[in-house]
Amino acid sequence: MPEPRSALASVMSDTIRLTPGLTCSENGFADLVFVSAWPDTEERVFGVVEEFFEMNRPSSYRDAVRSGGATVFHIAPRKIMIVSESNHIFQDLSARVSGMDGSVNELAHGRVRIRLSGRNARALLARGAAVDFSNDVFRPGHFAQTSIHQIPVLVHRDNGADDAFDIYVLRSFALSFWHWLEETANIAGKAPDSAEVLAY
Amino acid sequence: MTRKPERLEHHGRIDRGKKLWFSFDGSRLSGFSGDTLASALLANGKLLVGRSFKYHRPRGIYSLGVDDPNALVSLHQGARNEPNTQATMVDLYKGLVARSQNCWPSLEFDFMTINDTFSRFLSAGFYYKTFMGPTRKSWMFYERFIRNAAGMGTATTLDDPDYYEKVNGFCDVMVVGGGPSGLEAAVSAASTGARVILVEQTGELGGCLLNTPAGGKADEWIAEQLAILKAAENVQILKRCTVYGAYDHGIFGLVERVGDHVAASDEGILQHRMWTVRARQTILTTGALERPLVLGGNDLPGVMLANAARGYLNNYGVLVGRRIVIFTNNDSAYEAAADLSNAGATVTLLDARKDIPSHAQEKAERNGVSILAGYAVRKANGRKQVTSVEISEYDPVSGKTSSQIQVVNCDILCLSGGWTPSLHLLSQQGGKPFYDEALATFVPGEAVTEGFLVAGAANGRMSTKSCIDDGRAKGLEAAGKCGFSVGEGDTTTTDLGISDAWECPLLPVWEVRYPNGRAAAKSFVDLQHDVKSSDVELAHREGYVSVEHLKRYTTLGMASDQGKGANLTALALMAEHRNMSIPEVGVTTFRPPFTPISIGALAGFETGPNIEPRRQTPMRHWHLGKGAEFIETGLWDRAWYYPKAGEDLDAAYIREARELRQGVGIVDVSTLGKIDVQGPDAVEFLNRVYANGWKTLPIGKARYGVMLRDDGMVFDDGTITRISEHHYFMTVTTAGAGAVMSHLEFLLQTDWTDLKVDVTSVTDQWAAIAVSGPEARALLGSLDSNIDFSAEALPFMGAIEGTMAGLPVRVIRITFTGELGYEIYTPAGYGEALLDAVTVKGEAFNLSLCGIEALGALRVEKGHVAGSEITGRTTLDDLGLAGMGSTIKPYIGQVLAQREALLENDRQQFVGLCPVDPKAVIKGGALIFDAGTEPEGHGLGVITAVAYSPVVGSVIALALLSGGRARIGTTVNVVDSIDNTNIAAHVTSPHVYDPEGEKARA
Repeated sequence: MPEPRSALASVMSDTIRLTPGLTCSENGFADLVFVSAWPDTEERVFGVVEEFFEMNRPSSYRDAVRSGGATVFHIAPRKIMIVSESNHIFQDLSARVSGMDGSVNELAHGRVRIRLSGRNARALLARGAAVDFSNDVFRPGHFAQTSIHQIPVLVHRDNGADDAFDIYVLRSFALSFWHWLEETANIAGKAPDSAEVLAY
Repeated sequence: MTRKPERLEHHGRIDRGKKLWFSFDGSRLSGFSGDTLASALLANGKLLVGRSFKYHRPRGIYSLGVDDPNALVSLHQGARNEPNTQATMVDLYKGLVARSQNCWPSLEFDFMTINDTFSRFLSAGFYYKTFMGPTRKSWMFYERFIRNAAGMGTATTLDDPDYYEKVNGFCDVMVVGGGPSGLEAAVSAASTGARVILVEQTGELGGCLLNTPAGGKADEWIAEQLAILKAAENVQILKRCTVYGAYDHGIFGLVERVGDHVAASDEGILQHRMWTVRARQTILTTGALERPLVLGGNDLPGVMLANAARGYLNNYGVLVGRRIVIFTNNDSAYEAAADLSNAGATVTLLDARKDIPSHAQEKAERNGVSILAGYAVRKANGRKQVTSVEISEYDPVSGKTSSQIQVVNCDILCLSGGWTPSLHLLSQQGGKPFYDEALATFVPGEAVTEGFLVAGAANGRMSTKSCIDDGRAKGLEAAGKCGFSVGEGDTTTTDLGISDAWECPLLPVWEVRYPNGRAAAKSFVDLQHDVKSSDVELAHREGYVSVEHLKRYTTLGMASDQGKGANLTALALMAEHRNMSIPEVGVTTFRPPFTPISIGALAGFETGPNIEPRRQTPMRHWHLGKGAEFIETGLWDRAWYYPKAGEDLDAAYIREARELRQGVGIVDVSTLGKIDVQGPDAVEFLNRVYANGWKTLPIGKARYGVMLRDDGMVFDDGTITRISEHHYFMTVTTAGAGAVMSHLEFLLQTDWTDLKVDVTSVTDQWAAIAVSGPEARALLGSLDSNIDFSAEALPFMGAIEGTMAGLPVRVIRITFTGELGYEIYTPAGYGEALLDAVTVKGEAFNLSLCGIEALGALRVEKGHVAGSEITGRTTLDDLGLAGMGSTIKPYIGQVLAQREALLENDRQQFVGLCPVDPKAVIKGGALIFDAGTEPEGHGLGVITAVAYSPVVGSVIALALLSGGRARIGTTVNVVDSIDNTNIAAHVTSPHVYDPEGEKARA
């Protein structure tokens, strides 16, 4: 089977330096699935996920949980998104979750993950989303489902790196989102005092 | 002989080491770094800087900041031309180009001053009374002449070469205004650990302290506060930034003028930054605006506010005149008088009050100021600059002056009618200030809107010390409300050596009148819109007694300054006319913006092609490689057609459609909405959502479905494929995908929470191609695949999963073209690989690459309904789909679809049209009329789609036609009023091509 073609293949093959203090790259992953349950099956279904990844499920809609090479996001009532860094998990999870109890959907091809990093990453995000990305509020592991340039996105602050954010974008919007990133960084750099104003 | 303003050698905070050249009306002038355009113009002796809006009267600089009604200029040239800019708010920079506006042929000699000559005939409402007849359209004729005669600057139509951006900000405490109370509030709030944003609309912090003599304690204090704030990591200072709007839940709109103070480079700079700030608490330290006084000639160049004259002296080193008359009704003007006198001017101060403050009087006399207590200026004389004033004794009870007049020669008349707290943001959020009799103005009092605190002069504090104390208290209070530990705070009294405390109460003076009780003819209330006190009286006489009506009738308080200096005076005059108190008359509610906002700031990045995001299919790159032209369909960019050499759109799509019908073609249909439906109650869910039934759909089969809205109108259509026992794959229209997904989620989350169903949008997960044509099966069968494409193994509406060319696929035998067809789905990342594999094998079959235009033509021939027929106003029966509605189960829309009006026979129904003359070209959107009748009104129906049909050999159309099915076989006229065509056409079935569907089932 060929390698899947990236939605950003025509514009991005490596890490790109957008402005001083801001780099951008496509941050690929192995698999991305949604798992859903119903009120009376929630414990059973999410118990399967906890056992599979040897983790406790996320307790909030703001904090992702990382374990066993996967990150779990509680994105809606009784619905989680799981991103696996190196293993394909869809088949295994599908086999473990009964269709009577819940659903498992593979969406790995439907999402693009873009990593923004550097001291100006927050400043750039602040130009797109009405979310407080300041260090004390949007802490490591936090995520937010919001929109940037009218594009639905999920922004996740990396658990490990200080100024690194992963942005999950619907594949069909990825080029437009990339264009927004590039243009917004370019415009911010047009300020007479851009070095100062980009700081956040 | 009058003297012009002049730059002094040893005053001000300007940087005299940095000389800046600029131009005004083509004259090369110079100023210094730290100047505003207004101060630089004054320093160059320019008192006359503009012409008034209506009467074209000469006007000069009136104030220091956002309240200036006169000094409107156009900046820059060409594409950067920016009209109606307040010179008082423009920081001077090297090479700045400014021009006066609303004058011809020049500022000095303006032809339209003729309006001033006839001003007695051009009172408020003149236009509305005079230019309404004789016909209803007369106003349209007059309007352009009126607009040419009255107005402001002209905006450019060229593309703006500069940039604008938007940014979100968050804080615990936002302090609006960087004067003494604002600085102190920010410092005290920040000291608790609260995140603070301090916003200052000018380029320098200090506010009114900058109007005090430079080099004193005030400057030291500002520097200390600034040092504290800059060192604090939890403080962000936004200079040249105006909070223009206050909205619900602590949300504020700000515009930061990032690039206005520097020369723009050719490649463009960031001009404005639009902030949306969410603040938990907001402290308004917005200060107070000095009020003018209404008297004859109070708009002449050389008439200005007293505090402005003081500020130009102390901050910019500009002495506005050598002979200055100051007319006041309050204590604050005495500071200005002393400073101006100290700087070398001869100052005469007229105080309408008979009792005047002893400390101020002593200070004034000590500094050589002549004081006349109980006197008023009733009229300023001069043409393009005030040359003298008429003064006489003032009776505070009647508001009249005595008949004993003295004429005092002067260069400048300074006015100080009291101070109006700047409470616009509070007002925008519904704050209702109360009237303070002692200050003769509205103050916020206790009834401040939730989330707001007000401090300093905006809170009615009229001395520097009380402002600082108030700022400190409110800063701590705001932080405390955000949950920060406040403690006792710093209670040290700050003494800046400024003795500006008020000793005597203000005497309200709203209009200076002659002994006969009337004001001078040219006594202006609102200078920017040329509204005189006589206009207010006229409005009252004609019944416009509400302040809101007064505003609209006279235009008082409109335009770029929004009547900042005029509103309260107008209220007071109306109150007098109505024999009511000012509070009884009420106040207008301010609305955003506080100051004008550039269109660029509002738009930000989202202009032109960036106005909305675009969606691309997974095969975009592939289409580009094949030379496809693209078309926007909603947010999607889709391959439109693939032109060969010499082909235009028509030639290409007709060829593509013909090749598909004759052999095989391929279309990218990845934009179809795709929704995964899973759960033990999925079939029940589908039964309720769709008009047709699903219980009998076997695994591995697909079915066409139609869903209705609650009101019985058709909502969307598509197919459902049953993947497994509890798993369905739904496709919906490209245009309707978002709405359908929201609809389904809404139903599951609100109405049918008992159903165990999950819906997930998988539109982006799957790439999809439609392969159709008589050779489709043969083509697909030639690929390396584990799927048996035979009619027996994969019959019409059959579905199967497997691999093709090593790629995972889901194949559904379904067609939109009417030919033998297959929709093939593969994970999006493999979309181009699938296309490559199919097209390589397709060479042997003369595979046609078809764009969306050819697909549309093929569907017109086949007579499938699409978005142009599913308009939200058509029923199942209208579309010929009445048989789809189940009679054995309930579904959404079923009941309301039975409404009487929806069952009438003359409803517009889905039909086909074929022109009588095969060469005639019917246009989409054309109206349909009975043959032989004169086209009038909306006709019998409308053309919804047209295409050239290779099968028929002419352009054919689909239409919604009143009683359409009964008209099949008749002739109608199709009228296009744009192209002025009238084409006779036969009414046909919409299904022109293979009406029995035999080809699709082959």
